[in-house]
Amino acid sequence: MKYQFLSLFLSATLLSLVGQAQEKHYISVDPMIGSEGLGRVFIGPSYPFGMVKPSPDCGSGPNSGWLPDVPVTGFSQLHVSGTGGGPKYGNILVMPFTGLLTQLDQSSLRENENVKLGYYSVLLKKSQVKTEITTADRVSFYQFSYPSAQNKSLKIDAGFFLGEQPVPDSREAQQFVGSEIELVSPTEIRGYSRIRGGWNNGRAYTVYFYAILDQPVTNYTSWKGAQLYPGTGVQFDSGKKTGILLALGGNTALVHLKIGISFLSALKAKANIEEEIPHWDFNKVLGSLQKKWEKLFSRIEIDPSSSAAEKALFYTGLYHTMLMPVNRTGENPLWTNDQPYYDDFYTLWDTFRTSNPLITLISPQREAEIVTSLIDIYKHDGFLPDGRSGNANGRTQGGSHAETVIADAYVKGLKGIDYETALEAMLKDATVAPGGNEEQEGRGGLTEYNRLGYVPFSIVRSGNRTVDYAYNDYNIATVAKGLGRQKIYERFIRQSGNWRNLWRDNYVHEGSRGFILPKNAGGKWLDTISYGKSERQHPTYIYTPLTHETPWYACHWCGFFYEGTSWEYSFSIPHEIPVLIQKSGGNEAFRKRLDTFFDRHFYNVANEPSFLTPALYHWIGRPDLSSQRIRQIIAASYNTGHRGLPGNDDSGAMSSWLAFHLMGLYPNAGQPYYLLNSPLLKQTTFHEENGKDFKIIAHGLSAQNVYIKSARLNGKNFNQAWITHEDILKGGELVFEMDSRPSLWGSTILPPLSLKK
Amino acid sequence: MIFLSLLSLLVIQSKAQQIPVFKAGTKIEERFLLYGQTVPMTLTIYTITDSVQLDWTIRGLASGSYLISAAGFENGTKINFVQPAALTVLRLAPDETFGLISKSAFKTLKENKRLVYNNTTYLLQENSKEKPFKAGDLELDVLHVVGVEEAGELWILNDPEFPLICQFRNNPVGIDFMVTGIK
Repeated sequence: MKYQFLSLFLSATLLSLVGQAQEKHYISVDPMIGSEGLGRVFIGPSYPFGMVKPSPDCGSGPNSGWLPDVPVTGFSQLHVSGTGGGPKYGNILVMPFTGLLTQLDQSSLRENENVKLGYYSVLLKKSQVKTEITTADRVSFYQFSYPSAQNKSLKIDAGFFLGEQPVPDSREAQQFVGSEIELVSPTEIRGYSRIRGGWNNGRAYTVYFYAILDQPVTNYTSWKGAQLYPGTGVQFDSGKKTGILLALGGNTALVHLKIGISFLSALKAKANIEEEIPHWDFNKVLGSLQKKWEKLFSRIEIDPSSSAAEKALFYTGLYHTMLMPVNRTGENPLWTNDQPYYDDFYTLWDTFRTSNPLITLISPQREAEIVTSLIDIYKHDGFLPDGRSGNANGRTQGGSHAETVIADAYVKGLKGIDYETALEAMLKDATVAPGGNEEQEGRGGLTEYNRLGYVPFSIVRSGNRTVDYAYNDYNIATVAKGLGRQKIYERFIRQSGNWRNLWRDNYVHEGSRGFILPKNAGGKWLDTISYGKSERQHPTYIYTPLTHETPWYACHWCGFFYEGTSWEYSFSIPHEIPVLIQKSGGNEAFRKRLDTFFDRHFYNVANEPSFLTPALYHWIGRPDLSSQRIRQIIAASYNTGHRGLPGNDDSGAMSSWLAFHLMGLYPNAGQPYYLLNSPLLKQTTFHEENGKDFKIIAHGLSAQNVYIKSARLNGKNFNQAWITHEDILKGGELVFEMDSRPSLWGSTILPPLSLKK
Repeated sequence: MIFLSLLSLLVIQSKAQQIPVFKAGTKIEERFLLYGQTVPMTLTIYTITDSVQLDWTIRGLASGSYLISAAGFENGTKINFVQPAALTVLRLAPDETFGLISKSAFKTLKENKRLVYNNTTYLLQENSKEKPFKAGDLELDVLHVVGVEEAGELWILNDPEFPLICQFRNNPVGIDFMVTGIK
């Protein structure tokens, strides 16, 4: 009886533990989704929006540092997630090893790699050192298990960085500027790494570090350049790479290492350690990290009976969305004040559509901080960033999308933002040319855009710049109207129609009429495009709506559109879709146009310009077709594998697109509503920061029942396929009845029209 | 003996500087330099009769073909720099070549020490003290010409039957390339 009781007690305890474990959302996160192929996500541990992102580096080539199967060079402390182009960061690399302090290269193959949220471990084959990593916000924490206590070595490399190229000033390559290292005491090492360039071609940034070991250094050899200096513990900065090889003493084979990082000074990095990890408990650091994430994940709870794959896709989507931008409040080396400071906007061109709106849903306070930080950057650097990394604005790809982010915050009622100054900053983008600095900030071709109403072809990326600027002007009009600035509103609502100046009405391609096409400053449409600088030769190529110039005719950045074709960008008019439909020949012609776009594979799932396009069927009263397309795209291109993201995740852009569609919502960023689609999850509950709950329920959802038959909002019939942000803020319940056949639901009350109406 | 036979198939000119034999299946490795970007491309000769079809692949990602007409191969006066279009055979105009100059242009160069191509005069550099042109392990016999009216230097294989452009530097059209191997 006693044993029966014990057995029952144990079973109950076990069940309870399992139950508790299942309740933790972070367990569903798989940081490896999208780690291979184009996704390029960061795989190491990180706090939400965390400054420090320690992770293995496999050579200096990969953007995230990590690659499968090849040797690990070491573990550096700063990375970005999901980026394309030249890599950034990869600073302050450490590598455990065994043996003499005579070799700089300690790279090793690996096995037993284990990656979970907040935790990374691997066995280095060469040295047989098991390396485990977790992190705090600004301090990395390492646990090395050496094969024996007697043979423990560690390399700290202040000169390493990602994206190194042998050619000085290579575009998008990071370039070494300087480094310094000092063995301060038998357990402390400090120094810095100063690097410039990278994808945004930014000015030099300096990463200071302070490392503390729990085992004493017994021998050391520092280096500068290729020269080793046995017994020398200091290498000052003389423009050469520096580092130090350490032999470690102590009676244990287990070694812990804390690396504080700062953008201000090595002593600030030390203070970060004292503040964040004043102990040596690895699991405590890991537990704190998990709690931070869990708090955010629990804001959006999905149906507990969702499959493991659905949970993994959804919560990993949220996870990727909250890796960047990084919160460097108190770590700004450029100016001092009490405002939040965020960096690694990489870039707003990528994130404004879905990442920023998802952050707004999870934590409006966080998004308000991010927007405030953008405004503060404007105040001190002169322009709002579109991209920013390493404390430097850059690069612009198309429009000035901080406008959209600010407008999105405004229409969704985010508190604590100085919208007057925000409008001033937006107006600067729209009225002051960045003066030769258009690669970093502002609007390139602004003078011509304001004079002609479009950016002429002689200016690079004139197609998407025109289209984007028109939408950014709409964003300005939105905020101006809200603030009662009528004249500004009138100017910019008028300018928001500028995309029409590059719309070539009579151009027919693949059965569709009207496209955004190149035009010169004289107003002439350009069917053929010349290239090169030759005055003797006049080579041209024929421009069509499917032309993708890169990489042959021109640099990746010099085409008519950035990373897209006219077929894609001609749908990218998020504020005047009814006009777009009318210009395309009406509802039926627009439907055919959309069908052609998807069926002929003109749609590019791997990039952001077409994010909204699958949902454009909403505007012809066919939300069922939007849902069909979205499901097709997800089934074909997203999964829980390492290659489960179809393109560069771009700070969670791809991931947040997916997360929205899993819930059945999709934002039209800068506008106060979400489109409603058939959810892929049976239930989603938002536990909002304002204390209200909002629930989306899909009754009868199954593999067959994928169409919305009817909907009720808080018990009342709801016949529109869109919902305002305000309705979500109020809390309540949106209940869909699902069916196996398309219905007329949502076909008559179309999404809100332009501000002009 | 077999080795020697193979060698004789590959090289018709037995001296330090070589002229490979071009035939169906010959692979020409090229590196294109486009506005700061490097794009490796492999050209494979698919046919070489009166016309020439060159099949290209870029990093194994995309492939297609250029078809140089018989007229272009014989008497072309322009290099076509049209972007390779994947999965299609791009038929060049009768006055165009790709990757090589026409046989008549090469003949003119040999006879007059100059040629006109792409509306630009190029002069033969006879006393060039440059290092030999190397494509991988091959040291190629090339003719170095320099543009007169505007910049541009070409290294053209000294082969009247297949005047391959081994390098184009400072191309005012912005597309430089060089041969890095021939197999």
